[in-house]
Amino acid sequence: MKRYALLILRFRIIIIISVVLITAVMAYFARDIKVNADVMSYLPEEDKAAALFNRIGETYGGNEIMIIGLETEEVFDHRMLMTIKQITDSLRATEGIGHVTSLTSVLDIRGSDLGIEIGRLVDEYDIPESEEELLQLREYTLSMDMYRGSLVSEDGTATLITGKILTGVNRTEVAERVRERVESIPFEGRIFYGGMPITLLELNNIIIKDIRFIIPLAFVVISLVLLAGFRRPAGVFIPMMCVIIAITWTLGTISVMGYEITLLTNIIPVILTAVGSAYAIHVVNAVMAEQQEQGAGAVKKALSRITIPVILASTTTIIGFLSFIAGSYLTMIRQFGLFSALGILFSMILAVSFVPAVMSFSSVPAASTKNPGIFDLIPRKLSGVVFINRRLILGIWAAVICLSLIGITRIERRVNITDYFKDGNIVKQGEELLVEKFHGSNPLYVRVKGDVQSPQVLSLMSYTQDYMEGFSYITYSRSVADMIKQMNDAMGEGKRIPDDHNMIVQLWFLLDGQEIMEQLVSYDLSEGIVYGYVSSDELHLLREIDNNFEEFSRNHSSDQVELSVTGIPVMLRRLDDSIIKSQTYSLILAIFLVVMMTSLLLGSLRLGLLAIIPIIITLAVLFGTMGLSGIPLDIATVLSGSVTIGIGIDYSVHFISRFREGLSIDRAVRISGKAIFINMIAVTAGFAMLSLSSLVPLQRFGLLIAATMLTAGLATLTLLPLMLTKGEK
Amino acid sequence: MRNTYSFKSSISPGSVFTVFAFLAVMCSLQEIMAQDAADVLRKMDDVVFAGEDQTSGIRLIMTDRSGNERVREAKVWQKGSNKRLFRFTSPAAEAGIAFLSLPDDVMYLYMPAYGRERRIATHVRNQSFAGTDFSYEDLEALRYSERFEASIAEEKDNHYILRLVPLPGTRSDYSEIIVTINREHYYPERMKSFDRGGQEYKIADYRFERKGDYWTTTEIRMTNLKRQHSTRMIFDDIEFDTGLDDDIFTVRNLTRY
Repeated sequence: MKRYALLILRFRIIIIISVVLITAVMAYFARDIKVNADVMSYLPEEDKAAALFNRIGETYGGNEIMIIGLETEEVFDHRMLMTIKQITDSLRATEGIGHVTSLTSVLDIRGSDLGIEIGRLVDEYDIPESEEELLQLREYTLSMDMYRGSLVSEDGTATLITGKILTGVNRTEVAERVRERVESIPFEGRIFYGGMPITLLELNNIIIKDIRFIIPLAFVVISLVLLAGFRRPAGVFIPMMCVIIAITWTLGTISVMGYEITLLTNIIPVILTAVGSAYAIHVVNAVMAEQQEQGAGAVKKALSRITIPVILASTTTIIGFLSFIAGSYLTMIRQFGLFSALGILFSMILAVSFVPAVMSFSSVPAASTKNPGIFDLIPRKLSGVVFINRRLILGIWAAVICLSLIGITRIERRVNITDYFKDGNIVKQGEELLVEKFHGSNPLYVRVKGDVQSPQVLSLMSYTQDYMEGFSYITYSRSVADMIKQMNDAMGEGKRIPDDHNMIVQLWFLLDGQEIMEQLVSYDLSEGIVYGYVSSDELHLLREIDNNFEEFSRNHSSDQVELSVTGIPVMLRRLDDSIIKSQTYSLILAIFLVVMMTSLLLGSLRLGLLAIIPIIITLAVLFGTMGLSGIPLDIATVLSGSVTIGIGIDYSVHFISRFREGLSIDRAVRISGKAIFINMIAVTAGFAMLSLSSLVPLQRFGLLIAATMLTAGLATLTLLPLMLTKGEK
Repeated sequence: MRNTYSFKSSISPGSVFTVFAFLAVMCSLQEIMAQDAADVLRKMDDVVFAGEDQTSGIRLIMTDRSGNERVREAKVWQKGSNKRLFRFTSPAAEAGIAFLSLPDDVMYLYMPAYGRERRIATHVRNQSFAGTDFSYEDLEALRYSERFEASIAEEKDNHYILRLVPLPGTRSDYSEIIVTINREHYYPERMKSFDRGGQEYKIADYRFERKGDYWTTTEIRMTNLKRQHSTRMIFDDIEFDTGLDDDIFTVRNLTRY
C-alpha cells in the first residue's frame, strides 16, 4: 500500500486535472438529463398485463386518460355549456390527445316518438339557451345511468371532460399542454384534474423542484456538521466536493447512456451523499489523524492504512447494489442497482485518489488532541460507557430489537400514488373530488377476444359490466354492448342484446364510423374491450380486483371467446408485488454476499458474521420504525433497506479494520469512531431536510434514513466493541 | 428622425398618384376576383349537380391506418338535390338496409332484420356515414355556392384554386375548404377541408369522366387525416335523366325489400 500511496503522490497533479476535466464533461451531459416518474413504463415487455395494456393503447386509441373537471353552481347553463364546448374543442386540437368525451361531444342514442335519434347529447352548433331547453337537458342527462356520475355529478354542479392520451407520446408533456390550454380559457368556477398522466406531471415537477431546493439545503447542513466535526474547512470542502463530483459523474453517465431519472434513480444522489461521502470522510479523517506530519507525509501514512478498508467497504456495498440487478423484475430497479453501484464506485475511486491528491497540497494542521471537539469526545465517552455498562447496553439493544419486531408485524403496504402528495395538492384534491362526485380515474380493462357481433360475445361483455359494477368501488363501466342494447331499445325491442346476429349487424351499421366505436372494438371486429373506472387505489382492493378478474376471465373464456384483464389497478398491484419481492430477495442476497465478501477479505468467517450484525439490527429497526410510525412500505420507502446495507457495512468494516490493525478497542473507537460519528450526524442532519419536501414518500424516506444512520452508527460503536472483545476472551 | 425625413423627401406628387392608381386597381381587381370566384363556384356546382335525376351503383372501400380493408356496396337513386335513396346490397348481413333522405333533413332508415323503418333524427352532420369517411354533411346534395363564400386563392394554368368559407348562418363542420377546380370543365379535382380549429382535416380527390352530356364523378377518395382512415367511393352504371318516379322516395318503397 505504500507503493500505492507513492503512486498517488507522484501523479497527484494529473489526478486532479483529470477529475476536473471528467467532471466538466459529465456536467455537460448531466444538463440534458430527463425525469420520467412514470413507473408503468418500466414494466418489462414480458409481463402479460403490461403487454396487453400497451396493446389496448395501440388498438383503442390510448389506454390512459386525462380528466378535466369543472365545478360550478350549475352545469346546465348556457355560458357553462359554451365553456365546456370551448375546452372540448381546445382539447381535440391538442397534440397527443385522441378521443374527447364531454357533455358537448358525447354520442347520444335515444328512442323517441319519431324513431331513433342518434346525435350529440348537446348540439354543439346550437347550444341550448332557453331555461326550458336547459331544464329538459338537465332532466334527461341526470336520468341516464350513462351520464349521471360519469359525465355530470348527480347534483349537477360538476362535469368532466375526458381526453384519451394517444400511445407513443410523452404523457406528461401532453398533460402539461392540456393544462396550459385549459387554464387559458376563462372560467369562473373551479378546475380540477385527474388521471395518471397529470399525476405523473405533478410528480415530475415536484421532483425537479425538490432537487433544486432540498439538495442544496441538505448540502449546507451537512457542511456545517462537517465543519463542526473536523473544525477545518478542508474537512468540509473535500468530502462535499467528492459527493458533488460523484453525483455529477453518475448523472452524466445516466444521461450519456440514454436513460432517464426514475422514481428510484432519483434517490441515487441521496445514497451517494449518505454512503459515498463516508469514504472521503474516512480518508480525510485518517490524514488529519496523522498528527506528526502534514501534507504529503501525512497522506502517505494515512493512505497505506485507510485504502484497504475503504475499498473493502465500497466493494461490499457495490456488490449489495449489484444484487438488485440479478433479482429484479422491473427494468427500473435494474437501473437503480446498476447506477447506485456505479456511483459508489466513483465515490470510492475519488476518495482514494482525488482526496489524497488534493490533501497532499494542503498543510492542514492536525486537529489538536489537547483541545478535543465534541465529535472526538462523544465516541470516546461512548466506548467508556459501553465497557462499564456492558449488560445495560446489551439489554437496551435487546429491547430495541423486540420493539422493532413488534413494529415489523404491523407494517403496512401501500401503492396509492395520491398518497404521495400533501393535502391541498391539486392532484390530491382532484382525486378526492373525482371519488366524491364521480367514478374514479383508474381504468380497468377486460379485453374480450371473439366475434364482437355475435350475441354470445356481446352478452358476455354485458355480463362483465354487471360483474364490474358489483364491486362497490367500480361505479362505471362501458362497452359496445351498452350501445347495442340502447339501439335495440330504440328499435322497440327492449334494452337487451338481440339474439339474431343480423339484427346486431344492422344496428352496428348505424354505429359504424362513430368515434366512440374505435375506443370499444378493434377495426376487424375480432375483439372489444369492457372498461370500468376504479375509484380506489388501496392495495388490498387492487389485489382483490386483480385476483377476482383473473379468475373471472379464466372461468368465462372458451373456444369462441377469450377474456384477459389489465389496467392501472392491475399494473399497480403487480408493480408493488414485484418491487417488494425483488427488494426482499435482493436484500437477502446482498446480506449473504456481504458476509462472504467481508469474511474473505477479513480472512475470518467470524469477523464477517460480526460485521453483518449491526446491519441486521439496523434493518430490523428500520422496518420496525415503519410499522410503529405507520409509514407504509411502498415503492420509495422499501429502498431505504439498500441504503442501510451500504451504510452499515461501511461502519462495520472501518471499525473492524482499525481493530485488526492491532489498535486497542479504545483507540479503534477514537479514530474510526470519530469518522463514523461525523458521517452519522452529518447525513442524519442532511436527510432531516427531506422533511421539507412536497412529496410524502421523500419526507418519510428522510426520516427513515435518519433512523438508519443513527442505528447503524450506534450499533457499530456500542455492539461491535463488546462482541469483538468478547471474542478475544 | 432621419428616417422620417428621408421618407418624406422621397414622396413626390407623381409617386402619390402612382400609389392611388395602384390601390384603385387593386380594389377593383379584388372585386373582380370575388365575382369571378363566386362565378367559378357556381359553374362547379352546375357540373357537380348536373341532371334531373341519377341512378348508380356504388362501392365503398374503407381502409384503416394499418391497411385493413372493408367493402360495402349499395345502389343509389337521386332526384333533384334533396331526394336520395341508398340501398345496401353487400355484405349479405347488411343487404337491404336502406336510407332515405328527404328535404329538410328528414331521414328514414330501414333495417330488414327488424322488418321496420325508423326515422332518424341526426342533427350531427359531422358524423360518419356508414363507417365511411364521408359525413352526412359531405353527402348533402346542397350547392356549395349557396353555403360558402368563395375567393380566389391562386390561379394556375389549368386550375382555379378557391378558398371557401361558410356563409353566416351555414352550419358546417369545416372552417375552410380549399378547392381545386378544373379550369376547362369546372369539375372539382381536390377539396382540402380544415376543421373548426383550423387544422387540416380531410382531403377529397375526385375523378370525373364525360358521360353523354355530363361530366360525372366516377370516384371520390376521401381521406380523414385525423383518423388516418380513407374511403374510396366508386360509382358505376351511372344513368342520368331516366325520369325517376317520386314514389321511389317514399317510406312505403323503403320497406319494400
